[in-house]
Amino acid sequence: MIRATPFHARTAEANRANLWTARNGFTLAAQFSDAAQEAAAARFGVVMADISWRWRVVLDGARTRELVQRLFTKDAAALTPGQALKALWLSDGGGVRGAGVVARHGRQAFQLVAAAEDAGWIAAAASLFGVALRDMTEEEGGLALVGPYAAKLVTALGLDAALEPLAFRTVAWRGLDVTLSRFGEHGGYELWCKADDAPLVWDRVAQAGAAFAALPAGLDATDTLDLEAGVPRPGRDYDGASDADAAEPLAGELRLASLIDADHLAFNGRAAALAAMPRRKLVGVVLDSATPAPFTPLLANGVVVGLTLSSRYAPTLRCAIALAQVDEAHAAPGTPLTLTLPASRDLLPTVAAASVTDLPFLPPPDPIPG
Amino acid sequence: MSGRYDAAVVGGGVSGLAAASLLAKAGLKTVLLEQDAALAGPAGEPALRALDPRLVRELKLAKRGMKFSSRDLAAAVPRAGGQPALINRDRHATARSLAALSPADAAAFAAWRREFYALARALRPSWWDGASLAETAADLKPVHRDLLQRLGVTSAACFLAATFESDALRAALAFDAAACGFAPSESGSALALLWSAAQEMCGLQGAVAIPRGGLGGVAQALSQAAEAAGAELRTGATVSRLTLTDGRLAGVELAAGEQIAAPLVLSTLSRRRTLEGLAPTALIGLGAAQALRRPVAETGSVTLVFGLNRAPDFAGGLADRRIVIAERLETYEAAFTAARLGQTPHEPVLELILPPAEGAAEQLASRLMLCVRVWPVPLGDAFQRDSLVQTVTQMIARRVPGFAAASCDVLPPRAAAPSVARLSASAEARIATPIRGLFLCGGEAEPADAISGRAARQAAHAALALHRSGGLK
Repeated sequence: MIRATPFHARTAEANRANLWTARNGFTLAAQFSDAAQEAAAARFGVVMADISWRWRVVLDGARTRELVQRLFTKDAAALTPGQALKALWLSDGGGVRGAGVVARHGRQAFQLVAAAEDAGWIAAAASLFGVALRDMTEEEGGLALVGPYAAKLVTALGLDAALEPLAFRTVAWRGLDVTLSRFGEHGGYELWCKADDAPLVWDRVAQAGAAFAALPAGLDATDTLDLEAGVPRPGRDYDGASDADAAEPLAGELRLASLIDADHLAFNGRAAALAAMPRRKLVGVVLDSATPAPFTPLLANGVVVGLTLSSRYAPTLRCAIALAQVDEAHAAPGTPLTLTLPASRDLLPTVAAASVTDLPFLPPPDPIPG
Repeated sequence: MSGRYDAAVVGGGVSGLAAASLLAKAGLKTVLLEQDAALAGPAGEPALRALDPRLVRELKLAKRGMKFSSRDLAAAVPRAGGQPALINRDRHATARSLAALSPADAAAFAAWRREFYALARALRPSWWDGASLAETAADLKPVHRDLLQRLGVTSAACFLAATFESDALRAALAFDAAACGFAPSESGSALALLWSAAQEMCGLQGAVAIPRGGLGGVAQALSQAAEAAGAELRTGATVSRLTLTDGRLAGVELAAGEQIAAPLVLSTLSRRRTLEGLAPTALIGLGAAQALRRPVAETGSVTLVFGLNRAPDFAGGLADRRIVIAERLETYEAAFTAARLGQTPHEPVLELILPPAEGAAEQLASRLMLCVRVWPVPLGDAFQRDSLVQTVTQMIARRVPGFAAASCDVLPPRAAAPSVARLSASAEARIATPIRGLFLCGGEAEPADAISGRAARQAAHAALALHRSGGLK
């Protein structure tokens, strides 16, 4: 069954390109008019992006603190209500199952926001601790405001934009209960509202955003932003471990090692994850060709030394870029690699050059001071 | 009060005593913790299907008073209005006896038995020394390898039906699979049949023997061995959980709150009870904990001990016999289905053994005991003691004339968790746990449920190796 987000009525109206895509089972606009334009607006102006497809669950019960300590690679029980952290959850063998933001809602209530669903694992873990799990994904809508003018737009909406990264606040906003958060990777804000209020929230943001030339951004544009920021996402860039004993993917090979707190003793898979020796490194590669398919081999002197993950044309850099996992020995910035693109209608198979760069490709834009 | 030890053994049955003896004998300061007041417990089940010969040798059990009143029980298949068919070690005598059931089966039996036992013997490295079945299979003769491959995927019912035509014989032979907890139609049950044939009692392959004093007699000899080796045996000590320091196994805590420090812990409890009941959740992975949580239908067996005033008039007598009461293969199916649904089967499968009376006390009371092992029964809340006793009494009365029970004791039921994976895994995989320093050594660490002390020996040796390698530092 196709699931529509709470903003679907509005995004359908705004989608002049009528290009759609799917993620997490939701139908989403791939681009509203032009993906490059939307990505540029996110970097130099402000965009509104429907992020209702993110998987969200609330964990609530007497032993929730124990549960989140056991589940996540950072000590979420040490948060105060209104704070959040980014963390991973691992299989017994230390493989990354998923990544997300854990937010503390109350003494016992925590919320997990993740790009890919892992309901079986989280629910089973919750049942081990007698904790109730409530899936909020379809009950609430989420709208991300991304770009240097995001704070100004939030202020223009009549909300207080003073909010630390990885913090959130629930406010009464002109008759609506909304939650304003800063969970995102790109320095923006997110507005979370009840599903029924979603069209109204969209209209208010669109109206206030007109002064800042705010554009609705489709999934292509937000994926481009992620890629430029070097953020790998489960489900899109890598497959999370699905076996309980899986030892891969390694956090260290996905540039996610910083999300593991070695001083946090309780989390699942700790011993295996800390003992694991990453052999590859997540890097960026800049290509002089079209975008390669995922898992295209990267060669150095004719030997395969890595694989590309997702790749896109970066409008800001005016070239194709890709995330890639490359052997440590070839991961230094500037290392020249090659890859072979398959034959197409016009071309024989072509050998293209790729150059390793550090991540992120681009730093996040500085916000315009309010 | 608290103590520091090199190793702690949880549970004081045959397995626990064997593990504690071996560890203490190797020089480790060992404590055994039994929750009951007595170590060996009551005489318990009369018959043993497997006893690790190396354990007997290493602990010199024969010198410590372990004796057998019967070394090889023949299986008797009751026949309406005639002598029972006898299946015993003499395969030609067995063939003659089977002729009354079916001449064709009698002709096929001797050759079948020879081949089957030869394969079982060839697999001994796997089930006694700890190699996995796949490793052993690589060294087999091609003809044996083919047969093993077939047994791995077929059921005992199919396998037996392919050779024998008599329902009674098929059902009697399938009993060995049921004794491991497998319904004869389950895949893997043929492997359990083979496993039974690979066991050894008193130096005889595939024998069923009666130790003097039952299982309690074996435990008695083992506890002597344990004490002689210097193990500390504590009764009335219920282990409530495993303790940790810095995320490592530190020892156990007793229900009374006492801390016992021991970097090695050997548990005779099942994997589920050890890891879910004793281990703090932090010690085992969430995935492993979830796997343990998966519900399973708890079935097992129970032994009823009937007190008799006089010997029943079973045709051919009851001495040196075990009478298997299972009419046909379908009997097993109905019984296993009922037990897995949590109902007491209308017609369970029975094994009747009349242990020889020993000692002045029993002769004075002129009491005979008829031990009846009942397969399968639902466990937990679904276990209905009274209706089971009634069903079994009626079943025996129908087949054994002159059966009149003066009393009936029900021994604690024993759970069976049969698994093909366990039958074909290596010993290392069966005894290991996700927790460093914690080993399983009870019935569930055996390839199939049995009391043999083999898992205890393997776990003790693995624990010793870990101790000596300094891997616990």
